[in-house]
Amino acid sequence: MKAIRAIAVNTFKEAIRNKILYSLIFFAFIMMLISLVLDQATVGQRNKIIKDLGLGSINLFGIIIAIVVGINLVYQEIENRTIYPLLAKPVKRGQYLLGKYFGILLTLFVETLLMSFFLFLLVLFYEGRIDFYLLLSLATIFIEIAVISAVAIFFSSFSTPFLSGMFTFAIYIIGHLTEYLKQFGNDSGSFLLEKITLFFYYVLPNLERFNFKAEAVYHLSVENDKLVLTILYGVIYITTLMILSVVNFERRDFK
Amino acid sequence: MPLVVNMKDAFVHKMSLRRKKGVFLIGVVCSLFFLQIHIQNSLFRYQSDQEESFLYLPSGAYLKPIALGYDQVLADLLWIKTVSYFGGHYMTDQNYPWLHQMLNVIIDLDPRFDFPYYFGGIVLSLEASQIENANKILERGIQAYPEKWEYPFYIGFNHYYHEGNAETALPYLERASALPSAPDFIRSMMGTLYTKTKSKDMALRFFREAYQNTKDENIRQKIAEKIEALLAEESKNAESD
Repeated sequence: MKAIRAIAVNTFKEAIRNKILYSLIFFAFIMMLISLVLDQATVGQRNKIIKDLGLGSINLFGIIIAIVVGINLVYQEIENRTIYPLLAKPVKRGQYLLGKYFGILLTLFVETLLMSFFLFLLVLFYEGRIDFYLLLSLATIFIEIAVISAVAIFFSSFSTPFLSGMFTFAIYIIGHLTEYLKQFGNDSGSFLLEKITLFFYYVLPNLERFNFKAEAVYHLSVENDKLVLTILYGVIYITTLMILSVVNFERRDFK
Repeated sequence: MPLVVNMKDAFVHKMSLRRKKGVFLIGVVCSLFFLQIHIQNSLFRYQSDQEESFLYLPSGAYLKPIALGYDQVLADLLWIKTVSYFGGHYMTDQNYPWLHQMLNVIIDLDPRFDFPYYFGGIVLSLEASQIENANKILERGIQAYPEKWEYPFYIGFNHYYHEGNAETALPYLERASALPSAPDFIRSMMGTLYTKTKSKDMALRFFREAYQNTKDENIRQKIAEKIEALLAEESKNAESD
């Protein structure tokens, strides 16, 4: 546990050194610009649009950072050969990979937290109150980002950064379309196609399950059971992926 | 000493070469920049008049999966585009052939976004004279927000005001007035429509009921005046018979 924590903290520091948090400035700039332009460009519901765009940007930024950081961290250490002295110490490969994952999560958590804080400030400025409903969507956005990070780590445990990036991005896109995939199989009338699409429906992450943006912006009620099941789904999916990643990584030959 | 002089000369020569190279590169970049501006302007001439046909705008049913969970953001961006489209045409030809389609796509992407329903219901009928399209959008508004009295009321209004069809308008007004949030004036309006459709008994019964259920004193006064007028007309008819 100590080793995992040490690697996680180190990964976080490395991410800070790599100036990943600079993207926050870009986010803040975009949001400021949008809120200023909206006054001129739209009629009505400016606050709603600011919340939509804020949540959308936090989601998109988080996913991009999760993919970019997730696919590069392990590969870089292998390329720079910095992984050898680390693994020569009493640190298991599994611990190393988990430490890396938690480090990325910590980085993404800080990033999401700071972006959320800025969004809350903006909403407070325009609406005159803090909209706590947004927390619902922000929490599920973070779970989605954590799932995508796990997918990136999984692919990078046995593939090159370029391929890992392509695969993770593809999973992100398909992950939002699995409901349509299932529907397609059901409507096809073919038994085989129905079973194949059902297989992929369950194997691929259903990322639409983490989309609570409408509920947060329109203050729609969400059943507690649904929320708990969503969190549980995310945690179980991440755990499965990390187990597979560790197994892959332990079998990998570093030469 | 000569070595130092040579080194100095070499350094000066190197710097001057570097400067020349820098100036040359800046010149190339500036030329390319102005060239691309020129090409952009030349291409503008080839832009067809139908450029703004929005034929590339797919139906919301296809856009929703592509949005990858950013449905609301896409709807917002399209909303901004719609407002600008409306403003542009309002200032020029006052013709809005794609407004209806744009609003429908926004609603497909974000059915809880209520402003496009109001906008479509009012602007499409009053400004674009597309009554049928306005009513279709308002029907979608009723589906999304069955508790809002405004949407059935606007449909009723469109039927009566634009088409002069009181009989088609009445069921919508009845629907609007039955909602808990409905203002009292809808009942008074319905009474007027009952009168126009010649069902005077119905109008009288309705006005009496409305009078009892209305709390606003001004509207109660107006309803009372209408009841009196109807009764006077009825007695006048009876006398002439």
